[in-house]
Amino acid sequence: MELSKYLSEGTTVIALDGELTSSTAQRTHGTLEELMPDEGSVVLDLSGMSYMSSAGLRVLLLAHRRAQRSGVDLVLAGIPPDVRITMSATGFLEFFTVVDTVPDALEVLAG
Amino acid sequence: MVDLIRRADGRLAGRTIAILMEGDYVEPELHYYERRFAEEGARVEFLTRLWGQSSLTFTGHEYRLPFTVDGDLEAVDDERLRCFDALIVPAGMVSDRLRYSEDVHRKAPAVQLLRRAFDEPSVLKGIICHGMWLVSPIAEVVRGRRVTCHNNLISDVRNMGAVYTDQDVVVDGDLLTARTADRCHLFASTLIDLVVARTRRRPVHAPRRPEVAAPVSRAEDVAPAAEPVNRPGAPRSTVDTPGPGFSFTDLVAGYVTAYDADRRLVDLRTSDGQAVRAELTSTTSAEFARNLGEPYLDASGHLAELLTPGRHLFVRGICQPGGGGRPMQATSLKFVGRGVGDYGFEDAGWWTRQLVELARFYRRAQFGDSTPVNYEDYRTVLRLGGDKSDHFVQETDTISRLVYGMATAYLLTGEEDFLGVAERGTEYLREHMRFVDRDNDVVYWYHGIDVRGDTERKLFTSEFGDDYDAIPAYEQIYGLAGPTQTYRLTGDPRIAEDIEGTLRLLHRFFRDPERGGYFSHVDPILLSPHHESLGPNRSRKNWNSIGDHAPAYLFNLLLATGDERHARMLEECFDLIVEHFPEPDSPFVQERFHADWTPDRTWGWQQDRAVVGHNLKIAWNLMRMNSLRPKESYRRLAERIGQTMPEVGSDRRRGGWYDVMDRHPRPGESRPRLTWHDRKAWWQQEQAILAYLILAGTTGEQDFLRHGREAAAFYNSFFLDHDEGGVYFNVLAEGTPYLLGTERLKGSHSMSMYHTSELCFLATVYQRLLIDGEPLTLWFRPRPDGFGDRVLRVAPDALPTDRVRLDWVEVDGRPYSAFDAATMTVKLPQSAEHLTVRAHLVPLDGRE
Repeated sequence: MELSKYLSEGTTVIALDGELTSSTAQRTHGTLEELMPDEGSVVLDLSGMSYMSSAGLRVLLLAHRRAQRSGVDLVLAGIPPDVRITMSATGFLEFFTVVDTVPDALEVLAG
Repeated sequence: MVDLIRRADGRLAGRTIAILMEGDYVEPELHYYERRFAEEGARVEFLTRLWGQSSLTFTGHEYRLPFTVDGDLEAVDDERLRCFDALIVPAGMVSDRLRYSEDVHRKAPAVQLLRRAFDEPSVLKGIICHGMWLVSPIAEVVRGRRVTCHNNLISDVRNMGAVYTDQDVVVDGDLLTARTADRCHLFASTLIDLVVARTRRRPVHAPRRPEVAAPVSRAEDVAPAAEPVNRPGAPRSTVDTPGPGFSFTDLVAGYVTAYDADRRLVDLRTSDGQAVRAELTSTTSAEFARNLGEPYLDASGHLAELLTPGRHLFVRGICQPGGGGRPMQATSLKFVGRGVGDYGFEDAGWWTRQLVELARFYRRAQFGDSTPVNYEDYRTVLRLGGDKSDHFVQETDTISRLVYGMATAYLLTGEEDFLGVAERGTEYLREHMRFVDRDNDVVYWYHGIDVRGDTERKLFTSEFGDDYDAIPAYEQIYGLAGPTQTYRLTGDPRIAEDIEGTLRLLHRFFRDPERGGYFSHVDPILLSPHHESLGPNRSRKNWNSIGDHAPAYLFNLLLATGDERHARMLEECFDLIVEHFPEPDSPFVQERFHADWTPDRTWGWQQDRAVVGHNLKIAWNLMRMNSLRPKESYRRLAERIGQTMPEVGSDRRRGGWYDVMDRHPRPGESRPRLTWHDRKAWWQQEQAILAYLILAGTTGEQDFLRHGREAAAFYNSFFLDHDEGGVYFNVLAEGTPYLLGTERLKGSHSMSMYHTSELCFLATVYQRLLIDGEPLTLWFRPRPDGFGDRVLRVAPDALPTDRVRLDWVEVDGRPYSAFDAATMTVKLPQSAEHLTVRAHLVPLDGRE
């Protein structure tokens, strides 16, 4: 799992590439903690995520919680169909703000 | 019929006593009633079935004396019935003649009237000698109740299901019975006293146990009171009264040793034998402890009779400044029962009534009147009166505990609304709070959800200070409490799956496979108990994670399924407890450990401190475990805790049980110090009551029974919120409620109808089945798809195997015979509908 970060129009975009499983979850969580800003808004670009297990779901939840606590707006973009099904089945999907693409996300956050 | 002059200033002025009449009555008895009640100022109404006549003249048994009656018992409507303070069924053949009905399919009018009178608790029923025959067609009204009667009727009353009691006079709530017509004077005087005591004509709970009938003198305060039974002989200097230079309010829980009515001095002895003297004044108030839903019951008119030796009561008063020897000035008295040695909470229906009141309070507070209930309305936080605040959190554990309370309320009452609340809560937990982890094939439960606004935010890890950013075992354990109890009733296979999934979570991630026991926390990402992010919770075990499974869900799960795995898991828990928890240098257990079982005495707030309630909880649950698998080690530790706790953990002067205290006294001090305060918490009183009730019921030790009674007396006297409903979180040492901060709430992270309902249910089970030798009926509602093997297990708790059996079963109101009395199991029929099952359990100790 590789993470990369860039800024676009003042919004932090963090892209996750690869598999998010119990073996990569710990490290991903740690890196996310470092990359996530303490203010403003964040897009998590999941389009490059090939697989996400329940450990991965938990990482997303913790990121969501951290964002909430610091008042950061968080949007998920580009969720692959398989991952989306898992998230929906477990009820996780409903409480994230979810869009199809990163540009959509930027638009939502700007508006 | 002579219209006798009534004394206008008599104690029964304005009251009405109705007496049923027919031929072959006992002449001296009738004549006595006429005059005795008139002497007290009451109006006496004789009633009979007139058979279309305007009056009937009956002849008596001895000399065939005529007695004319024109009162028509068939014309007594409900309003008139409620005007009767008492309804008497006299001796002789009156009852037999009155129970005659010309239609074999209908009950006689007198029987119907009596039935209606039994439905009116405000009408005292007085039945003497052969009078109990009139109850025979409506025997359900005396089932389980204590009565006496003529010797010839002993088998009759037992066939009715009543408990024959070998006394001249017996009082059981609103039912007064007496042995024979020649005791009619004792009967009448007791009846007079009971009617007088009902100053507000409301339902009264008199003691279940029989009162020894003795002539009682008038208890007017203006006139000199009765002869004191003992004059206080002790010189003043031996009286225990602290003497600082200021006054302060205090409470004393004690047993009367003497009462000097002239000087108005009461001598008491506390639980640990200390002598206290209190002085009554003209402004001292007095009441009887009452249950939730019951009105204030004044006792100030009866002090001379009530302040008899052995009487258990609470005295609140002002301790005077100055040197020792001055009695405390009693401002109020609270009596815990009617007769000496009687306790209101030992009445058959007390705890059930309390549970119903609690269930209704929480149902109304959370859901109003809507049916079915909508859990989107649920809020963890409820204020003192039950109203909601602006907290938007729904914690999983608090919903689960409410579900437990509602399921338990159904178990005792069969009231379908309670079950509906429990089932919908279970479904809500499943839909909103449950996470099915398919990778690991486990189920776990979110901490809760925040329902502010349109979206629901799942709160994944605990927001509670001690457990931040971790998944505590405690929350997974208590998440199962409500669903498991619901499963006992319905057998819902979906609940079974969720329980199994959570057990897999506990076994796979929380359990220590090498050294045994369960870790207290796992990290939220890897589900590891050893992750460094857990900080002081890393690789730790505590009472919650090791043993709390048992009371929270595991005993109930075993009771519902009979599955050996759960018995083994319980055995492992308690074997670890007896091995690691007790320490020789403290009466308190050690409750926190590292992975290798070395004690952790530096954790958070606990340090080297004890939680009194945890010690009692361990004793209570050890005795349950001992019923399943008797082991000397279980019993020994339970009894040791039971014997040592009162001295260190209870308030020997005021009653009640403390909270957190040091495990050891400081150097130079003789007693361990209390840590934060000397308040008493509701859930810890529960542990004491249940621990001592089960210890008393299984060992027969009188001391255990006494501690159980003292604990229940304190709880029922001071924790019930008669103004708002529900139970107070905390009271001050002297019993006044403490209403600040989160301890003011009726709904919170800590309080959610779990401990209060567990107490009501198990106090009922232990009191009736183990101590009083009385039966108990439980309700179940198996689903069509419930209990795959169609075996419903109805054992009420983990009780010794030879103490209880299943006596009869009803399915949908009809007797059902496919059950096993010894194993307490019912073989359910296949059914397309939900079934309603009533299971009647009886104690096995040779009593009838």
